[in-house]
Amino acid sequence: MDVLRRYTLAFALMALSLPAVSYGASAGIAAAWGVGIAMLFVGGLVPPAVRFAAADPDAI
Amino acid sequence: MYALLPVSPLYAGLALVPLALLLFTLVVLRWRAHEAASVGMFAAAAVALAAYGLSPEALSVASGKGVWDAVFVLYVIVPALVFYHVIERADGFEALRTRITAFTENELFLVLAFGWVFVSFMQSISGFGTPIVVVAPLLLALGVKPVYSVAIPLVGHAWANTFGTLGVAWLALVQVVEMQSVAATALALGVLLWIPNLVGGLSIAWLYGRWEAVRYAFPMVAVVSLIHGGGQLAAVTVIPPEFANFFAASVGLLALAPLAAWSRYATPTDAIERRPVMAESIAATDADGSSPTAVADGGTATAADAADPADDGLMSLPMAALPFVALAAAAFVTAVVTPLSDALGSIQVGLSFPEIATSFGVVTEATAPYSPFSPLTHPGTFLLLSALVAFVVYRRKGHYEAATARADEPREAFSRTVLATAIPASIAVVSFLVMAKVMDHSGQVLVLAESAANVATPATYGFFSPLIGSLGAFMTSSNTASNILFGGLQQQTAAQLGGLSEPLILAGQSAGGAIGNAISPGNVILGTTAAGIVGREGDVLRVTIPWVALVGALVGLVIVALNAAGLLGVA
Repeated sequence: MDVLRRYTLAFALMALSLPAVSYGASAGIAAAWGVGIAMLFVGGLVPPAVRFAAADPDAI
Repeated sequence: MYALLPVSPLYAGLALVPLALLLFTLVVLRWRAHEAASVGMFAAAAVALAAYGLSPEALSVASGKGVWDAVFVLYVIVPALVFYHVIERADGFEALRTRITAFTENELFLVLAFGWVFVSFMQSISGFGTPIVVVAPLLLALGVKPVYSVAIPLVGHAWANTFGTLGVAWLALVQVVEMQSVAATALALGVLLWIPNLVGGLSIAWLYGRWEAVRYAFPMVAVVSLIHGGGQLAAVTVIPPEFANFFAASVGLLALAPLAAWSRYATPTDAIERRPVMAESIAATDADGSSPTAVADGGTATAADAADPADDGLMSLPMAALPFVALAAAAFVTAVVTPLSDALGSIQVGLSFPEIATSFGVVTEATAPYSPFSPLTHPGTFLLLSALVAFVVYRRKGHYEAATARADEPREAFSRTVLATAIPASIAVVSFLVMAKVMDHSGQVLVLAESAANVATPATYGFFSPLIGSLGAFMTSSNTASNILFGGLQQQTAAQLGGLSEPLILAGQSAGGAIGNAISPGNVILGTTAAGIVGREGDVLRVTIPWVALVGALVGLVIVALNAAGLLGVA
């Protein structure tokens, strides 16, 4: 998977966390907001991980 | 306000950790924004959970709001990239550079004209970083190095923030605090905002060619600053303050014509030997003797006085300016035609979030919908509309075919070009705004602001007032949001300390918020995105942070002096 695809996946996870958190927190469904915050943080971990793991992080 | 709020050096130090880590990774380690922002986001979350009593559910709510806040910025970034590439693929920026330099090839004049005067005009009618997005590629096309093509408009537009965008930040301040005197506060702001305007013009000249350039540009800077700063100051006393910046910035733009005709600026000058912001200076000093038009620090640029490429087939100046005129017209018409803006603004979308509270009693009320988004009155729509107009016209006139024929090598697919820049920038914006919202909802921002207020005395608080405003702008990338966040706190602190002019302190808050826009991550990322140097945000901040520190200190000292002299109303 190239760097752009990894970043795109990271951004998609961050974006999709929004409805999960809003719905889960408003409706009191812990599983929903829990999944939402997990998606956000997994997405947030990708850029530092790419920095250290990718052969060429600049090759977008 | 918050009886349980842990205002102590320990908690203030903990609240500084996310900011310190962010700046360290960005500026010292030179990580790219999307990498450093993640570090800041995780640090803010860890401090909020471990020390500030924010529950995981409350953390998810604060984070969700941060992601939502990012929508407002992302809907500028992606349209701005589309706008840029629609013009660039028709060689529109090359045409602008070629046609404009036909009027005057005086580089310093052009850098000031775009990086200070035109960007201020754009700020007067639009906002959300649009002026940076528009001007950075223009400076790049003139031959300015990419990092400076972002830093210069950041510095040049800062003064225009509070009364710019037809006074949004000013109106927000008026809305959130009950002022002793609206007129005196507007007047004080007019005085304080003149400082970043004047220093901004001089700083851009200094960046261009150090003190030789400052001496050379001084008459132009003095005239324009008199129009900008003096005009805005005069305007707030006679017309509604929300129009003061538009008035001053428009007159400043008109003044460029007679200034360009003045013999001093009508032709290139040899009075300035060192030109560190210009691309060809790199090649001139490079040991490896690289080509004069190569840009060592990313992006593409063509030096204004380098050998001109063949310009046969390049579009005319009016044609090249068409997208910018369309953008300005769309922004202006929707801003001043109230029934139209009301109708367009009635279409809103938003998500709901429940009330959350920390164990220290910092409560954030439930909102449904939270910060509704009005897509049709957002600058992103104006950018897309302008890009569409340009695309249709350029295609009909055959400019894309002509540009393709001139190109040395085949171009990458449009969507891939846009995504390769937009995705990393989007990750950075989301992470920054999640970090800011978590720090805000957990009480970290309040602790920082109250700590600054606590260490101040009535004699010195005026110095800290713009610092707090700048912190708010850095956290939120918005003068408006900074005023909403800290306007009440500044007013309350001034009243508690006593002996302070409320108009001056509120003006210090808003002026600080305006200046802080030059270092706000959102604006910096917008600029690096537009200039094609995503990942070089730390280099931009190395230029703008010292400027913000200098101007913030100057504004603070003026507030202290005016307060001591009893000017502009002592509470």
